[in-house]
Amino acid sequence: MDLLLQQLYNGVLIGSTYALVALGFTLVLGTLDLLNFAHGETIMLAAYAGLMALLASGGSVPLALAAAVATGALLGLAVYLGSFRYVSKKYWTAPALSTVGIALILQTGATRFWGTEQRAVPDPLGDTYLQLGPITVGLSHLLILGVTVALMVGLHLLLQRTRLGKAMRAVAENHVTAALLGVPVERTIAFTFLISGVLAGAAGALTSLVYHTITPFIGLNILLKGMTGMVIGGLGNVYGAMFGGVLVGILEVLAVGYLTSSYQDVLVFAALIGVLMFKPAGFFGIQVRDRA
Amino acid sequence: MKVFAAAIGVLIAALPGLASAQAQEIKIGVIYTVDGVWGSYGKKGFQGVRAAADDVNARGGVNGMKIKLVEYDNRANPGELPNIVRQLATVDNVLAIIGPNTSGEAEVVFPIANQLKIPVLGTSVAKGGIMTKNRPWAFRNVMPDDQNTGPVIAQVVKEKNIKKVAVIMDVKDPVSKYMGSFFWPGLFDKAGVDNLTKNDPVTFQSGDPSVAAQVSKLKSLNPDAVVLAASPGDAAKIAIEIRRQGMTQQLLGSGALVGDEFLKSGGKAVEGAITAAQFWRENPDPKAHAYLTALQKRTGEPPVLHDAYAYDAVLAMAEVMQKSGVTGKHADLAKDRERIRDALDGIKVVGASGAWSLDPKTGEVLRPMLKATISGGQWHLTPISTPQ
Repeated sequence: MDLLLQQLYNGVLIGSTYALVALGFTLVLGTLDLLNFAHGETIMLAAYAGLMALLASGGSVPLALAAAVATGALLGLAVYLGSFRYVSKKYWTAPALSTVGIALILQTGATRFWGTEQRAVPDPLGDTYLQLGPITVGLSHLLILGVTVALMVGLHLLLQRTRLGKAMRAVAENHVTAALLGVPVERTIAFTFLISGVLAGAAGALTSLVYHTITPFIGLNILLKGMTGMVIGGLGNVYGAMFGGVLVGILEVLAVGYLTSSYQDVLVFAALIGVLMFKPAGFFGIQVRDRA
Repeated sequence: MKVFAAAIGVLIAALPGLASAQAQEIKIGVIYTVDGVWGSYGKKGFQGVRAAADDVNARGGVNGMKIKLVEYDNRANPGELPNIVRQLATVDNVLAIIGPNTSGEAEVVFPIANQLKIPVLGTSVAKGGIMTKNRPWAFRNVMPDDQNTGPVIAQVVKEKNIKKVAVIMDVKDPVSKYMGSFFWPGLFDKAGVDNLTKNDPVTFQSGDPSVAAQVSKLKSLNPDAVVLAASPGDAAKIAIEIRRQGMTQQLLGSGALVGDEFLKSGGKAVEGAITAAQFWRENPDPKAHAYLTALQKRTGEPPVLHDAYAYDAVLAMAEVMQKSGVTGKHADLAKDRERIRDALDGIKVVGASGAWSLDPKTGEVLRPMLKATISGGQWHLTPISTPQ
């Protein structure tokens, strides 16, 4: 029982970072109905930016987080400009494939600049941990969970209580109608990418703290887990993304803890297939929209 | 007109000389990868072979012929290896191949080299049992983990009074999987140590972002020591998580962990870790010391196993080529390769990695065995035996 509680805690911790990934991903999907495959590499580069800031500042976690978030936001905007704004919308595959190209460029650039080896991420809070009954809770874990919850609440408030959030929801509903009603569609989309980048940046900084190391190859794995969380939660639904991300983390950890690591992806993707078969809109999805 | 004719004459007269000068090159193929989890090995490998080739050439080459390295990077993709080996053997016409740098890759390269009858000398290929399937053309100058790590860790277990251990292994990497599934269980059975993960192994896959779940499982077993069957980077990551979850147990590992990556990535978490080792940077042998100094001068970094062994691989090749009288001529290619193969059997070398020899029957290397302990942020090596 003690082990199960610890494993569930591990799952929530990892899952919370997947939830951030899924959130950033689902924002773009909800707004544009297109996938941003460069999201994983945005997270990876933001993680490196966070690490560089951490090393340069002698271990300042807030500075590392700020550097990662700023990098994520800039890359989010760059992806928008490079793959969506000026790429023909005539063929819906073109922007998505363009993001694949950007992802490859970012990954190759990172391997050339930082090398392919794992880089250790020093954890300034790593020596401090609390024993809450059977669960060992690190101080950095509390930071990760705190930042994740704060970002989720912030996103909820942004979407529900601000003009920008209203505009984002309007654009997600229908571009043309939103434009007719005076919503600056392109600017709203640009902001959506920016916010998605902020979430990617935070995910990058936090995942590197959870995983202790980063490599230029973490992007794809994180992207796949985030995508799975998004689909399980419900495409384009931010609350679904939060739920789905955490669920993926828990499934992954339970597979490792009670089966073997080889089954972690099997269990996660079996859950994905199961959801697609029996609840195709995901747990929080309302309906599956037909593409026009 | 006369001057022009004379110039033409001189050029014509010089042509055979130019042609023969071109033939005065001895080509050695090199296969390493600088990508993937073992990429750091390949980078050092390339540095080592280049430094050695430069040094040998500066000393006059091999019987007056310069060594030319024909290098390939398979970018951590084993699928590229068959073509690379064939290219080296049949198009580039190299006399021998040095590399690759992982056992998984050697399992692709060695059989093809054997089939094409070209000598191949692996430098960071530590998985046990590889050589028996790939003789007589395959060799390696790294001691397999089972021959090096076994005696060292058996001694450590006794000294530290370790009664129960838990092993965590990377099931995606062939060496780590072999070590975790066969080598470590066999060693602990023999040493009378209770292997808590024998029937329920704790596994991860290289590239897994988090190892928290695995470490929680290890913690629940409460072993005296945790054995890390993983690449240096992953092993460091596991060590950090082990300490973060409040575990203070002894960390043990194979010689694969010795190097800067485990030390630097692991930081405080790997303090006190003990592994076996076979490369000794502070080797007091004057000849080895001179080579290590030369290597460090060329690479600008303190040598590690992977550049030192790669350096020695070129030295060994140069020595056997010199002694066996290879011609480097295309017409003698098959004969030259046989000469190199025969001369590598039983060769004795003192190089950057100290004194070593190749067993003529098995193609395996014989080296001193060392215990490596991390203390004060440094590796400290102690010899426990010398080769028979």
